[in-house]
Amino acid sequence: MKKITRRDFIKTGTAGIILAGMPLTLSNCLKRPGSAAPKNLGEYFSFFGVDEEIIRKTLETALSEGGDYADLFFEYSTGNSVVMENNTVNRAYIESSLGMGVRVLKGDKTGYSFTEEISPEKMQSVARTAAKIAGSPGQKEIKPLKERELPDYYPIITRWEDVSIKKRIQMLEFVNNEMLKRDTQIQATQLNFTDNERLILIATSEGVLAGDYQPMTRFNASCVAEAKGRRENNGFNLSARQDINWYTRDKLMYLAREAVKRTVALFDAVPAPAGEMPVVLAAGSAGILLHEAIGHGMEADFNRKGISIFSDRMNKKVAEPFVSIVDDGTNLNIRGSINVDDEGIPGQKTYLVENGILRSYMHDRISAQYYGLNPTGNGRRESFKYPPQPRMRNTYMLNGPHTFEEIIHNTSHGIYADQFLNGEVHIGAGDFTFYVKSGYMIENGKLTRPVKDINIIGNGPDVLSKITMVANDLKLAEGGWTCGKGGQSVPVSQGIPTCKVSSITVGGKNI
Amino acid sequence: MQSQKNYENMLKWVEQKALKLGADAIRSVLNVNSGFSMSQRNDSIEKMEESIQSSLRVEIFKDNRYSYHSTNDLNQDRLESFLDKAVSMTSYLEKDEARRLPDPALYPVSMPEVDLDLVDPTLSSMTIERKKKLLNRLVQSAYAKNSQLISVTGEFWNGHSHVYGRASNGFSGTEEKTYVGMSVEVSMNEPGGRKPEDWKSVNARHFDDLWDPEEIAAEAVKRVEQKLGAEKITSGIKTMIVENTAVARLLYPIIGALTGKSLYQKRSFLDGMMDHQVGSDLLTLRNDPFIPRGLGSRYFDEEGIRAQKRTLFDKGILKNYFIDSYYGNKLGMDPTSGSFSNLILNPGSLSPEELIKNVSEGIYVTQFIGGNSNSNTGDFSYGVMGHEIRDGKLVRPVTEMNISGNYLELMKSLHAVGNDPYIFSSFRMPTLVFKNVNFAGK
Repeated sequence: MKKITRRDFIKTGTAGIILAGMPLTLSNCLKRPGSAAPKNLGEYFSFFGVDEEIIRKTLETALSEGGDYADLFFEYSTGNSVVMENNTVNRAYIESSLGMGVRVLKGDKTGYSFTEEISPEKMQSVARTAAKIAGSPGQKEIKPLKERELPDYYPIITRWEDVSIKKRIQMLEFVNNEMLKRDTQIQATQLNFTDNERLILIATSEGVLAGDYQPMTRFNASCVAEAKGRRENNGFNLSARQDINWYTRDKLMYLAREAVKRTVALFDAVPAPAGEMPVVLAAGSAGILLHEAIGHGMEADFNRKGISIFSDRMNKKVAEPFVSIVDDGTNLNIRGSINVDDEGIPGQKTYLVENGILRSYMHDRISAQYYGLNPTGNGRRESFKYPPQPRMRNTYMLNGPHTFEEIIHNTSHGIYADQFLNGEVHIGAGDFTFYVKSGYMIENGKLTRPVKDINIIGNGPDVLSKITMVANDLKLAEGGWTCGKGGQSVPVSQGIPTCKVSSITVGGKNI
Repeated sequence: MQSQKNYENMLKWVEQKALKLGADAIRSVLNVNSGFSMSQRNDSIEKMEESIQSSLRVEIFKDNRYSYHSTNDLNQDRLESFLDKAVSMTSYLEKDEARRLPDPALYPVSMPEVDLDLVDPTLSSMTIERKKKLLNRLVQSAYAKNSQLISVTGEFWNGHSHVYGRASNGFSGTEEKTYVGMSVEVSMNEPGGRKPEDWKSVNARHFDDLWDPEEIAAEAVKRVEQKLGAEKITSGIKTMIVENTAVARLLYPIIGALTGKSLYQKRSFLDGMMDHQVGSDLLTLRNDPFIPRGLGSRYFDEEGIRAQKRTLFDKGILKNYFIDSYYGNKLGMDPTSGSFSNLILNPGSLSPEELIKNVSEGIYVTQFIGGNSNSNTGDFSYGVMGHEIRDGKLVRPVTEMNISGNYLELMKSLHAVGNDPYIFSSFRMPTLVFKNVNFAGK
């Protein structure tokens, strides 16, 4: 059921969406590619059972009621999720999904429809439905289709569909054993191994033709431990656009170690204080602050409509000169990277803030057109069932002039926040939050006692202006982050060097 | 679109095929949904989406091994190969004695036993022109209420879904539902650059149960106007009133803690609390699948287990968990159902206004933002927005505040319950009042 979702959020952990899939043999009009990902458009065409002629005719129908622009989006996604619960690998989920969507634009109006059966007749039918949005006479010309050359930001060797379930089970068992070995307080474990592949083909009335193969994997390990008369649970997860070879023995041991360490540490936690105080963000997934404090507010759809708190601040100073923030689709094998967005625009790196000055929104086609700018490659969609929206990719802050030691030493009292579960923002008022699963107190310039389970709340532009120190240790998040907006979820990542916010409201206890 | 009979035959075929391929048992569910949505921003239509989708989910049981597969490709040849892989893959998993279909005695005896009235027959013939008119009324009446709004986006959606379920030990059921809704989002400018936003959304099974566009718009505009000039206030321990629309978000983790899954994984702060007094005596919470037109109403659950009313908390005493057949087998407990339908909290006699009048110092929470909870300890911390209450009156809007606490304490601190269950949700919750809540602000 549809629901209004101005609440834009991000989350991690095992509660994520399972987009899994069965390696299906699509025998009739659909041919599964061989072991290698499709190399050229011919292979994408044959996979989806289409050719230039069918595409052209569908685009013509899509523009038959006066639309300015149309695009076709073909998608096949497939994935597997294998679950180990309390020492038994007793569950596997497999999912596959195939379909194509037709989008028609008239100014900033969107008509959209999709079909799960890719045949010329069905494509014609959904094109006619999407065409209705324009509702005026005229037939715009379809430009000759030209293949777009794309980079490869996620080269892999082995396709997931060539990996046996046995191999996945072995990895689960290995990590589970490593976890149990590490601590006798562990009462229960829960592990989830997920992989998926997404094949997309985009064709537009402006002649863009692009295909991409997008692999993804995520490994979650979590456990429950008991000590001091109570139970605590926590975990760790790794995610990337990677293949099976990424999971080396060392990496799996690291996953097990972190999951256990982070759980056991919770028993020593003291209640966090309440109210405004300095917060130091650990390098890595703390980039969630950027995702919420500025990321969503810089998505151009909100700014085009004048409803983001950043709508009136372009080219103005929003932070100290040592603060630069980018949204980047080009990081090698990172979860939010894309060779091409879901509108056919190549992945790229976009400066949101450069040396403290607000520089660029994140655009999709509609907003780029509105502002008379080039799209930034941020037009993304959850699947063929949705039209694209401006979305983030990997959002992170560049290195600054300080060091980790200086920042901690310079903080007499505050919180060091290092593991996060989720965040949310209201983009108009600019208020945002993020939830700290674990961290430490900072007392007299030193990290002291652990703290846990605290929500932090602030206002985007206010908090950006209060970033007073940035270290030189940028790290991207290692886990699997999923961003939700307008009812659509997409994989993203984020990162940050150690950085200090001089004052923000911490949801601890009034003592 | 294929007829109901065709879909039922498809499931029969899927079942026979899977059994022939070596499955011991199979449960299959076919979901067919047609949906429409349209939005209007300010004066013009912004988006129109229309489509039909279907998906097949099969759960394979073989030698006490289990896997779950789904596809949206219903071509018969390809389904055969899909089932073949599904069955053969299941063999690689480990045995788990608890994995089996529910006892057939739990399935519905005959169907339907009651008329839940989940289908509005008028929706399928509603024209796009009429929907456009409703949307335009929605947007224009927001501007009529307040010409200072900087953006108004209205949305209308409706759809029709059919679910066909079948299990090889004797379950067969269908469920048909319609849904329809309207929402409006409004934004305003504020000195200093903030652009507070708010919205109102209503949804129901029948069009007649929605509010008029004018009513929806008036509520959204009132909400955003009341937010203007929100400020941070000082930390402290105060009374918290939670508006009925926001209660679901606060109580959701309590439902999570009641599930067999969280008990089995030792992740529930309500583990071992059966028949204990865990909440104040105002906490009487029931799961009722039989409310006519209810958003969570149903005849049977995901496993085909026949729907039943259950009391979860009776005057604060824990009476029932949500146990599906798998975790029931694991925990040695009788299955109830693994999921909720409509949740009803026994309402009180006072209106929200009267509840506010009775508070000398507190916060009226209208929205939660972010936050999370610890499923083992019950500790929580959430961002909140709302209004400061002084001497029984809302005195100013507040923002950038957090609450923190523990669910076991919060349930005991439930102090008063409103008379206003929220009907546009399967969490039909009234306004609630909690004493001594920890607020963190300035």
